[in-house]
Amino acid sequence: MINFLHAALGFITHATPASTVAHEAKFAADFINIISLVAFILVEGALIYFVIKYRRKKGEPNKQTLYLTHNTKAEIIWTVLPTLILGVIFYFGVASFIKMRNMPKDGEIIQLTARQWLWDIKYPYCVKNEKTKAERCIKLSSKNVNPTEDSIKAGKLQDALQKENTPFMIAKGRKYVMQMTSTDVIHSFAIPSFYVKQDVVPGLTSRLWFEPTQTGEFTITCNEYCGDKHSGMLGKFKVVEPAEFDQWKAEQLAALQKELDQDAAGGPVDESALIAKGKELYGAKGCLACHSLNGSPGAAPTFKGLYGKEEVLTTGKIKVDEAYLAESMLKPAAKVVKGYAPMPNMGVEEADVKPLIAFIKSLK
Amino acid sequence: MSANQAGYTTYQGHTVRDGSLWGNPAPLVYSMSRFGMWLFLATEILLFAILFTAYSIAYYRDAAAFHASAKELSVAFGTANTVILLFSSFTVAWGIEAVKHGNNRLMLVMLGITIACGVVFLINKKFEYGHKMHEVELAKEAIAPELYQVLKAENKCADTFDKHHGEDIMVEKCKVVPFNVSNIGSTDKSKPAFASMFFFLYFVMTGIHGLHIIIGLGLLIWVMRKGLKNEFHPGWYTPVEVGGLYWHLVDLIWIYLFPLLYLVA
Amino acid sequence: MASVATTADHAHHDHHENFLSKKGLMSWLTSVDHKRIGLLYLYTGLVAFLVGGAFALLLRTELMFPGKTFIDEKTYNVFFTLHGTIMIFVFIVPGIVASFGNIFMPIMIGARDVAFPVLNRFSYQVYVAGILVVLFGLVNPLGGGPADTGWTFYTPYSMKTNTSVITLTFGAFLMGFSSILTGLNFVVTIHKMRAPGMTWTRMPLFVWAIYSTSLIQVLATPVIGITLLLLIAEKFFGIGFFDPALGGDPVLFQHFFWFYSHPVVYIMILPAMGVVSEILPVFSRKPIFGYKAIAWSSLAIAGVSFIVWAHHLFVSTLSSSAAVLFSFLTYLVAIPTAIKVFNWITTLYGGQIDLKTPMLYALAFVFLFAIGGLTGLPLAAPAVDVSYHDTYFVVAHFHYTIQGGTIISLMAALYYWMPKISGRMYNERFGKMSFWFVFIGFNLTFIPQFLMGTQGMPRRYYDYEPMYANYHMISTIGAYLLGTGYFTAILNILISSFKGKPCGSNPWNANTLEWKIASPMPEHNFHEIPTITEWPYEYGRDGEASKYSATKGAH
Repeated sequence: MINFLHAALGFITHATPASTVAHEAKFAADFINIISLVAFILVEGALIYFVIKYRRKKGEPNKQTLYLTHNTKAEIIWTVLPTLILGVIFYFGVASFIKMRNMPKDGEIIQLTARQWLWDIKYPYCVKNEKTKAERCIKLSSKNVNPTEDSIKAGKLQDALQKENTPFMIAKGRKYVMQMTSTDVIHSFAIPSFYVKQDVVPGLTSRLWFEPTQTGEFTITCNEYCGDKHSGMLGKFKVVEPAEFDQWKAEQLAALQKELDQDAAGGPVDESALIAKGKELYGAKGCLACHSLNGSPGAAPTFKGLYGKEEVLTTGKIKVDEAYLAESMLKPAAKVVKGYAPMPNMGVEEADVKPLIAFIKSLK
Repeated sequence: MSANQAGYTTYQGHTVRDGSLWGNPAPLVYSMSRFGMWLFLATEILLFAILFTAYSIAYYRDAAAFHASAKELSVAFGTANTVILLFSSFTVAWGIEAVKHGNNRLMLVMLGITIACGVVFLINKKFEYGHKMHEVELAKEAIAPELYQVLKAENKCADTFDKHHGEDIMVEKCKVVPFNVSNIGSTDKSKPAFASMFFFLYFVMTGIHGLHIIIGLGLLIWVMRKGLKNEFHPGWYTPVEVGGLYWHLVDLIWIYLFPLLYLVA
Repeated sequence: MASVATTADHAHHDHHENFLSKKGLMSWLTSVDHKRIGLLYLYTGLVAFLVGGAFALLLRTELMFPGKTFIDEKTYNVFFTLHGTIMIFVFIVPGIVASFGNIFMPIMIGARDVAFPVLNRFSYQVYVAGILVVLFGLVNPLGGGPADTGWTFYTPYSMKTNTSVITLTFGAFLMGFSSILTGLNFVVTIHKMRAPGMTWTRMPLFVWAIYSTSLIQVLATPVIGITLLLLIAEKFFGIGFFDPALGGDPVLFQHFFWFYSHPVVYIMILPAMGVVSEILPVFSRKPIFGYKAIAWSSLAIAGVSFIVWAHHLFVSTLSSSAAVLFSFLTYLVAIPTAIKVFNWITTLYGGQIDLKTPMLYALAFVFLFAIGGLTGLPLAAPAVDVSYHDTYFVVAHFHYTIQGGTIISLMAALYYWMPKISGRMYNERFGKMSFWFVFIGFNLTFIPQFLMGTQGMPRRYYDYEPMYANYHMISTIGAYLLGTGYFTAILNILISSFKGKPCGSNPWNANTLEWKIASPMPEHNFHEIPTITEWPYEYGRDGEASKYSATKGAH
């Protein structure tokens, strides 16, 4: 309700600005909107005033009207004045824009990959295993928050799912540069509270930058229509104090180091840990959008009882084994099950294959 | 009054149209027809302008690939076609002059030659395309099965053909990269995957141009039919002139296409 | 100046015969009479309007509550695609030009028909062919269902989706071709077929508007034609001109698409402005203020409309310098538009305003279009557009300009000219009632959309966070009011054209040539072509409308 009242003040209010560039953009927006509001009052006011004042009155005889075809002075004034005002508006509009477009040299570069229908980010904080030279960086993926059959049964709509969405941690007062590309169609990465937005185009790298000025959670929206689950492609930035962020970062790196070392030693011994990891990836990589776990039909074959099954492909039959599963995850278009559209590239990496296979095998 | 309210007069013993139409006098009809055709030519030029823009952008992105791909085209064919079209523009202009001076027979001969040139152009084009199709056949045989599956999966045209025809004519229908199959999906500019871009533009641009040749031929044949009925005379030859104008445009567009596609090697 | 009407002219002419007299479906479908062709466009367009409007109501019903209301997301995506495509290509682009332009432009310049009547009929046939292709695409058993790409068909999504994009775009291509032919016809007509004495500065502003619109139609439409053909070729042959995986550029499609689609919005608005320039003087009994300024700004708007397209691409990886340039050019086009608004309002000053239904709609046009124009100012500023792009702010902006502009003006034209076309007056009370439903419903629908857009609500979203729920609820209620208003407004016109009171040739006491001939209009418009000696806006000289000095003309 308060939001509504806030917004009802006219074009003057927006999302609460939460980044450095947001304040400038908001100023430009407010400036233009106030001028528009004044113009609105003057123009529409004149319109309504004239309509009322010069209305033909019923029952009274017709009056002589004013034969006026032009007035050079007035016409010059109302051509020159708006031109000047538009010039000023133009200046404010582009000045702030140039600032938004100059990437700061001291920004932390976060790689973002957009895909149907979630966001994957990769931080520039990595650990390495000295022996194998393998590297792992902190990675997070958002979840698509469109309600599914299951979530609706559990009484969860978009807002509840968004609350459970993976927060992208960042630190207040630090500059971040998002380096973005897409693996399939055009998306658009936008954070309304930071007043930034940029299309994410396959085949190109686009960038945007921001410096958060407030702590809190700020929604990320996809602002270019990208298909079936476009409206669920939300994410969120969680801005925390630098100290808290550094602590989180250290914890994540430690966990990654442990994983790396474990993998170098032959992978987690614990089968259940592997299956748990697989289940986590099932959500994180977006498999859950199309592959059900309980046998119910969907846009893709269900995982229940999949392992060992005789599957009918468009090119013949095959028995589902580890090799087939691995290939389907890494090269989705290589073999397609009859009656389904080819699977899009879900960004599954080599290291994810083993846990995922373990998870699928566990679903009898 | 006839259906389109045309006026008639006599010329050399025949009853011919006097050029008036829908109650408008002949000079007005003449003036409007020419204006209308020039406007229409403007729209055609804009249409091809976009194609030329698309070409320039693709060329700018990878000039080397364009040079390499253009080598696969036959300059001989292209030159022959250019000469044929230029000549046909000359003959149609001559035909218009002929009818202006009342020489109906000469006009018909010139129109006939123009139409024949147009047909030869199309036949040449068919042979040229045929060559390209043959190379597609060769490429088809060279495709490895796995790659073929990938192609098939990526192209939605798959299922219809499988179901309706039973035989696999997938590759021909789903031409992904006709000439550099091994470079499918490559954005590596050192490999001429951009060759596909050149040939896409080649087929689209010459195809749309060919369509306009056919339209132009249709127009000229219609004019010739009227001419055979002795409808044109020095007081009324607007359709001949307007048809000739269209033919000149089609020729002009080819004059631009030819160097861009054939001589860029 | 004087010339005698011969008895021969009257001999075959029955005083009760008019362009509607010949009955039978075939007489309508084979007619080359510009008035009949214009009416066919009007009927087809209004049906398309109701269909597109029905889709809009379905969308708004789904959006009334968060979460699924009654359809799933894929269906929602198809619905907004069809809503946009049908409204834009089938209804609004032909819109006022092909209907009222066809019917009245030749009469207003004192001609008997357009330059190429057979081409005019062919235009309509190609347009219908386009509609049939689109309809086929809806029920297409071969494809994966109707297209779900949005009316903008952006690549690469339009490549990847297996819905029937090809049929929809080919239908749009055909309709575009029809619009080129109509534009060509009108340009030649206006240049060559004006009656004696009808100089360029004596032409009604509606004709100036049609002229500018036709210029844009002829020059801009080929671009979308070829763009859609490239899209179809790529989708059909699988070669990647716009496909990044094969070295293509998806943003190039956006450039090509908007190079046409920005001028197209001026094709939509210029005729609407022309209608308003006709109605305001008649119902204020005053000449239009600033005739030359309005005429020139129509041409200026047509010209500048070609160089502003990339303001749709500020956020699409356009370079900063290009963004600065296009922002500047976009503000430039605001100037002639603002001048027109000031001129219209000054036309009311010192008048005797009669608030009949056409006048109500014309005034609503000025009011709503001004809002649409003012909300374009933040969008033209790249810094602000970054926040507003692809949000509901944009949706509200273009609905204010296109619907609050063109469609409201079309309603004005409908009420102004249907008495002329049918010879019968509509019901004034119901007309006014429908108007208020439309006006209130319209604002109720779209003002919340501005507000939620500034808060960040993205467009083409099937579902949304609860903070936007109230806005959506109000917007949907408004939409129902709006739909009721339009439906009853059109019903009024339909019924009144058969059952209304006969109204004579000039119920509004207006001066343009169509009011000097009988209602309904005679088949060949004029007995004899009139000679023009005066400007058509000589209202208020003697306290009553002075005669428009045509020595010949109607009876």
